[in-house]
Amino acid sequence: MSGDMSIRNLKLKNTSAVSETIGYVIIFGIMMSGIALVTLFGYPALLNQQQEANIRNMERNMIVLQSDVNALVYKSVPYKETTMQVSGGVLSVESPHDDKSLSIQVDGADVLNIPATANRFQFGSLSFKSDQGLPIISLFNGAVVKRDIGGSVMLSEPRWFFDDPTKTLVITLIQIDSPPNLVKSGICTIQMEIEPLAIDIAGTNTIIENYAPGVKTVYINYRDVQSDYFRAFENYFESKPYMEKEGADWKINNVQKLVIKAYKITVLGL
Amino acid sequence: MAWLNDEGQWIILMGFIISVGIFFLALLVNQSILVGQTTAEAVLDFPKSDIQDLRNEVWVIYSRYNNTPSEQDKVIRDIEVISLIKKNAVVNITPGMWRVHYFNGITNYTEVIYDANNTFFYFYY
Repeated sequence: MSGDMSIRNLKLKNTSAVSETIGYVIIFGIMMSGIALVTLFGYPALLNQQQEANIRNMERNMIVLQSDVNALVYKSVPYKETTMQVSGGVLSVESPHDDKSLSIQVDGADVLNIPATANRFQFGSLSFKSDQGLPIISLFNGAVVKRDIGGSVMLSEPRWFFDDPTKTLVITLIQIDSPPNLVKSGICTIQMEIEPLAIDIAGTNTIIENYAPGVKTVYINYRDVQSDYFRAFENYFESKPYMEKEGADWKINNVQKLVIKAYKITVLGL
Repeated sequence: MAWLNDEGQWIILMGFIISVGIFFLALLVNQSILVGQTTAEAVLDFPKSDIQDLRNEVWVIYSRYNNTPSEQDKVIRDIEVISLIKKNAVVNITPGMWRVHYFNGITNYTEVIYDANNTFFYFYY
């Protein structure tokens, strides 16, 4: 724009009510109210968003850890290490405890033989606790579960299965433990080591019970005193067509071969 | 306000365009990590070589122990137990019909490799 049509050549007809001070005050007022709005509403919303992003990030991290655990358990890898950024909470190892345990019964007798814990398998978990206390995201028995206000949800399922043609039920029990109690935030290097966990009289980690040609009913009792992941596991069992609820137990009918394997994953460091 | 110079407006415009572009690129990079990982895991999880080895082994059993059924049963039982303990997979081999069944909780595979009662010949190997 140049020449006669440019703004500097336009003549304003009447400028007697135009005040530079009022203009300045208006512009300044708009600016200040903008800053105030951002400080009052924008900043808390941003912080909230960040915390949510942290939790989402951690859900993803836990699924990465789950595939590490799967590599240890199902692919005979002896040791795994993963580095990740933990923010908005802390990562900790919960030692195995009777509060979260499982028993498996056939014909009213325990299949598992763990005398130290009254034949109940104790899980233990690797958990992320958010700064606000909830949600808690856990790697628990090979599953990723999330505990929030009012209940829990399973983000990724454990690899238990029932093979219909051979009527084989395969249960993998994964215990997570650490020598000292580990808690950490920030950049964590999760070092995991696997060893078989004795669950039968002979002291081996694999139980293969063959009932052929007959079939039996297997009862699974899952105990969660704090009800942390109870809902998640109830929903998981319920979603499986071969599982049926009976009282406090879950039963699986028509099992011809029962396979139970148990492993202990030791978290050496975070 | 005496002089309004609009010669440099394109610099600001370019600044806007580039920053929006970088924002979208950052979104893509953020997604690609997750996509790459899940794809790699899906490929790694698929027990391709396990199933191939099993099929191959069934052919070996068929050709080597076809005249000694008792030996055949022992070998088949060994394969079933080893795959259960080492690979956490249920394997079921039905001799005669040579049906192979493989299931590890995720991948379910069933195939009739060679049906001796069927006149149709299978050209697998």
